[in-house]
Amino acid sequence: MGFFEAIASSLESWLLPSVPRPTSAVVGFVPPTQENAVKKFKIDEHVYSSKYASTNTRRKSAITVQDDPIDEITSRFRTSLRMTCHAEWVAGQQEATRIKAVHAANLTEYARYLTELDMLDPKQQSGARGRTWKSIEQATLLLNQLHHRAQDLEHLSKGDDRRKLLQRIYKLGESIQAFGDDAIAIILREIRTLRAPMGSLRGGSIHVFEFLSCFDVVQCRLVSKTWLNIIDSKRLLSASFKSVHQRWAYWQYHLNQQSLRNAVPCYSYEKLVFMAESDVSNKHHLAINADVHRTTFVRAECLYTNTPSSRLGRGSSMSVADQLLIEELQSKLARMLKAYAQLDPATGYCHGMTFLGSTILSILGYDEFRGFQVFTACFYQHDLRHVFCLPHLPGALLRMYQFDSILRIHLPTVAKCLLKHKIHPQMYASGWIMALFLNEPSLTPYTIRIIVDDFITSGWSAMIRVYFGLVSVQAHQITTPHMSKTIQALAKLPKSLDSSLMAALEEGSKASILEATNLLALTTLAKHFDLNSSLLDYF
Amino acid sequence: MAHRKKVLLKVIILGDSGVGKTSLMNQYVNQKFSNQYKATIGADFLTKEITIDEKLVTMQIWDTAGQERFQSLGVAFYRGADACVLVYDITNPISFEKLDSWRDEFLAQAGPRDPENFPFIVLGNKVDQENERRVPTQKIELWCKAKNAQQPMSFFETSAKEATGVEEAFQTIAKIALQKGQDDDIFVPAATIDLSGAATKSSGGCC
Repeated sequence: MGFFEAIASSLESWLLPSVPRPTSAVVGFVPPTQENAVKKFKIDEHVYSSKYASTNTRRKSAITVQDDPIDEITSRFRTSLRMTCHAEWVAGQQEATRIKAVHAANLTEYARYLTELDMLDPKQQSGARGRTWKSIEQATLLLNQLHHRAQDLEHLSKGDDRRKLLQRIYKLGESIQAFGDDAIAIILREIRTLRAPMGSLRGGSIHVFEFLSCFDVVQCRLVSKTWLNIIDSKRLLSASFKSVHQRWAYWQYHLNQQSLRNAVPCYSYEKLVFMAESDVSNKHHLAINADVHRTTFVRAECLYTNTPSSRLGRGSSMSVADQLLIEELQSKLARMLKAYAQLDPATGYCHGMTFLGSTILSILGYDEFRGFQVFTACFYQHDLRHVFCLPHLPGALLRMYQFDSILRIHLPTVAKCLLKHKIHPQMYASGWIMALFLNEPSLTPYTIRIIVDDFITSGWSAMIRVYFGLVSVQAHQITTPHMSKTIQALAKLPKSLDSSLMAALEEGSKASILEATNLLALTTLAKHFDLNSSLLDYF
Repeated sequence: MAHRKKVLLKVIILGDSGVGKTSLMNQYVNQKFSNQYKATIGADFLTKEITIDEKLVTMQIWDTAGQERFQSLGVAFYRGADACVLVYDITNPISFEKLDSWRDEFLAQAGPRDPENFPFIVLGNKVDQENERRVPTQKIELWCKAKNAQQPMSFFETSAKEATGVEEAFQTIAKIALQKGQDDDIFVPAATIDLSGAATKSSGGCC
């Protein structure tokens, strides 16, 4: 029995008339008796219908529209009469009937959910009701329009006009469906929120606030805000995962949240691996084998226990077990990269992919299948593909441009210094962008996890914030009058990432930077980017 | 030591993926070798201070990524290079055949004033694997002569692993670049302008 069911059943026992009322101090807060509930329901209904009077009448009219129209015999008669010349009319009638059925189904569904919502939210505090009604109202209005249009079809003599009207009818039908779906979605979401244990704060426990003073409410707000800030800015969630499974769930949740615009194409990993194995003449395989052979791995256990250790890599002094492990890992990584080259032949393989691939593999406890899933998600959903794309790595140059533009606005002194020394982002930021700093061997497991988590959950916005924060923290080292000192300071930045990670994250999450690196801002910058003319002032 | 002045030499290392560019640079600058070098992303650089003919020279050595698609990320640091080191692997004939395209690409992107006489040096790396050699020495000598008959490019066979020939090769490129720089008179003292140094600076034979 769930927590809330338990409460409900205890309340039930109070409601039974046979049970005498408990005579306690809290008697003033006794929930309404059954009669009270009935009374309240009546009042609610009255309030409801007076509030949404207009919609209610329309709702009725919608239903009458549905019932009254041309009965079957008439319509058959008309159809047979006009079949030869008015194909559009028939289509229009069919569409109208179909949409009416859809709308009716939506209404029934809506009514069902509304009763459910009333049960969950008896005081009618949820704002979802109003929003849902608006959608339903719109749909009903449009249905009326559609009905009239369908009738108008009959009177039009020109074929062109009829076709136009028919198109309009189809469009109307689409929007009616969309409004209906919207309404259902809104109400369903609300029900789900109310049912969720935390969501009950909005529905059930919300009444607690009636007994709190203004001061208390302000304090509540402050406390929750502080918690949220700390958890977000210090990446406490990232640090809290103690097992592969937890992180996998977290990543999956975020990758499923991403828009489907850059969705990964359907694939079967086994098939891709098989294709790669039979594709012996693939030009990428040589490069993949060479690069994988010199790739090192962080031990999976270190990633969750924070114990620093040397990386796993081919070398002379290694135990037999380690040698076997590294061989296994390298063959897994090679399979992943070859499969990816099959999935996305336009990108194929490029230096730098090994770093992300090996890191993901380690974080997921050497699970090759899941590793490939996350790897492809990064490439498609977070647009890493574009970064490694032939022939000119346009994505890498675009990210450099975005970073540089933000630097120019928010750290003008550093940007001016770089411009003066003609230090193009190409000279220091390639590894930041193409390997997400993971090519820096000195990073601790802690930093690696935070960087990968940030990238998977927030994509390039998060990465550009890290770049900016890092430069901002080390700005005094970078701004020098000598080109060689500046470039040296920049080259050393990834090495200082460990020590200045928290400061960098804090710098990067200042309100102005958050604003400047959100998806919209980055998209706007991308529109200004031109492969041939951007950043030319560095030359 | 009246005319000791600070000079910055920018050297670019180019060559196919896996021929040992990073190893060569690390062997020269840090005297270290490891077989765990990872693929270089974009570019990386190290500096080393050396003295040549009583001049303190800071060598800024840029190590580049060997994969072709990275060439578009190289434009920025190719510019203003004073010398270029072309590396191939003596056990890998393809890396030797690609030298031509690396040289042409560099000249096209860097746009030096005098491309005919730009200081190049060629290194055939991995001589420690002599028994797997697949590029004979005569072949590379011919190639160097074919590029410039009057002043053939200098050529060294090296091993980053065993430090064979690395020091000599980089010393040579520094000398050639310095000589060329003096000929062209393009050096601007990096940090402070030493007037006495500038006054006593004698230019070599002009070409």
